[in-house]
Amino acid sequence: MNGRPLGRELAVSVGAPLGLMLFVLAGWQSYVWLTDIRPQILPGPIRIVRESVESAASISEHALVTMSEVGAGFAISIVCALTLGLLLDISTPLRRAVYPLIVASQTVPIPVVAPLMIVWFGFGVLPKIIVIGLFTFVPIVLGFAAGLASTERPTMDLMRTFGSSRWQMYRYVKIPAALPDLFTGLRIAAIYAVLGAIFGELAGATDGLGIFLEQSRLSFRTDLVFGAIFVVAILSYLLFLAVVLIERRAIPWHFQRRES
Amino acid sequence: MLEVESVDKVYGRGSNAIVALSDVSLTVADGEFAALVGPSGCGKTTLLNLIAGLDDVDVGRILVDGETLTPVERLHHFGYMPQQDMLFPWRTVLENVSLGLEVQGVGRSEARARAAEMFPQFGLGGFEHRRPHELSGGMRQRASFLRTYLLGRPFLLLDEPFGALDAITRGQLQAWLAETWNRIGGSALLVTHDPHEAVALSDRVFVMSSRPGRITNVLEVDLPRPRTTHAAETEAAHRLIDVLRHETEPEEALA
Repeated sequence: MNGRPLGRELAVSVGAPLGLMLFVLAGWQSYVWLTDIRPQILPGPIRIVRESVESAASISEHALVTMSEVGAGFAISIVCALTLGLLLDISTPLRRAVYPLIVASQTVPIPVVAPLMIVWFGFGVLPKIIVIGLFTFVPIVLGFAAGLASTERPTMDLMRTFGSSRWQMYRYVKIPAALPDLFTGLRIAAIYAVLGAIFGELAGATDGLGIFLEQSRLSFRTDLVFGAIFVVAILSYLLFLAVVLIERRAIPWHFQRRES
Repeated sequence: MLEVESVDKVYGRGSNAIVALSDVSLTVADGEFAALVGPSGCGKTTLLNLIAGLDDVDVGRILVDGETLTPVERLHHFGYMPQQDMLFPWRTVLENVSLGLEVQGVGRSEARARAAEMFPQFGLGGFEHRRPHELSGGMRQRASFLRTYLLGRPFLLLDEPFGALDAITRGQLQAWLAETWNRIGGSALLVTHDPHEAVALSDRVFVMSSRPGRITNVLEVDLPRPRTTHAAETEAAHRLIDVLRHETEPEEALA
């Protein structure tokens, strides 16, 4: 603990980015006022907020669709990633075969592949879940696998002298030791999850923020495009924040150790 | 009784092969505290790992009470204390110390009760629910020792247990272990590169040389038991320490 009161710490950690954002928005608004630029080209922040609030009902309806896709996609992605991460650690041949492919898969341009998902899996929720999976799966697997591999030989030797079975090794040592790296992966994945849903929707959907974005763009409602982008950013940040809060609760020892 | 009989251990193959141990034999009687002294890299930890059952010998045998034991059998016969304390940050001190018992299938609450009982004797009273990082290096090492001791194994293998500590803490812990050993007894083999530590704690010292690792000398430590904290300050002890220094230091200078 550094002795700084919590309130002040919070004010700094929230206040600093907020202050910077207000400064940028003020500059943006001034530019719009001074140049009198057309709102179809560049709407000012005030107009964006006003018009977005007017369309709040529609935006939140679409956001709800997107977030339910994100919820399902992220959850399924986590389950699959944890399973594969564990299998990769258990089986060396599997790791040798699969690991390079996982890394290489990161170079696949997902927005280009997303329409194929529609061709293969239709217009339902499944292709969105898959696209979210494509965005989030890899950081979680890599984080978890790295965490599991971080337990060193002497530690495992000690467990062996206790008479530890392989399963006990995972239960008592490898999995707890992997949690900090796993959460690093989860935080990165959380940032991309909403983006994944948007790309999934853009490839083919009837509802969702991606569709709202596309429709607003096609009808030259640039203000609403920006509004939707802000909503996407806020939702991504909230998901990220949720992961951080869960992390704080799940592995308090990790932060205590760092502070001491 | 532990008998190591003409053990060889080679790592690697062909021209890269490193002979870690060559024709190593030693015997530790029941109730005896033995030490294995040698320069770093001489293979003493390798030998300890072989005895512990973490690895198997290439040539030779390891016998307990006259019977050859497989590595798995040895894993269950010996208690092993590593150089690093290896207390896990996600567990409290009590949860760490009782982990060995839990792994052995003792119920969680019973394991913790049994561990908690020993905390005062090990100078850990009041620290049950702290995290390892809140303890001093010396306390962490005592907790690690308690974790090994609680397994109730008849023979303890100690791998440079105080090697990572500063000189003052190391001296305190040596005295503490000598005093604790008077109470708990049992057989032990201590690996160390510190002649003073070997003499202060043990009844017999095996001296190892490196490349290939082999036993070059055996010294009887004829100091009275129970050992006091100042056992290694007597003239007899100093003579032994000097002999050990002489035998291990030229190697150290080369390494």
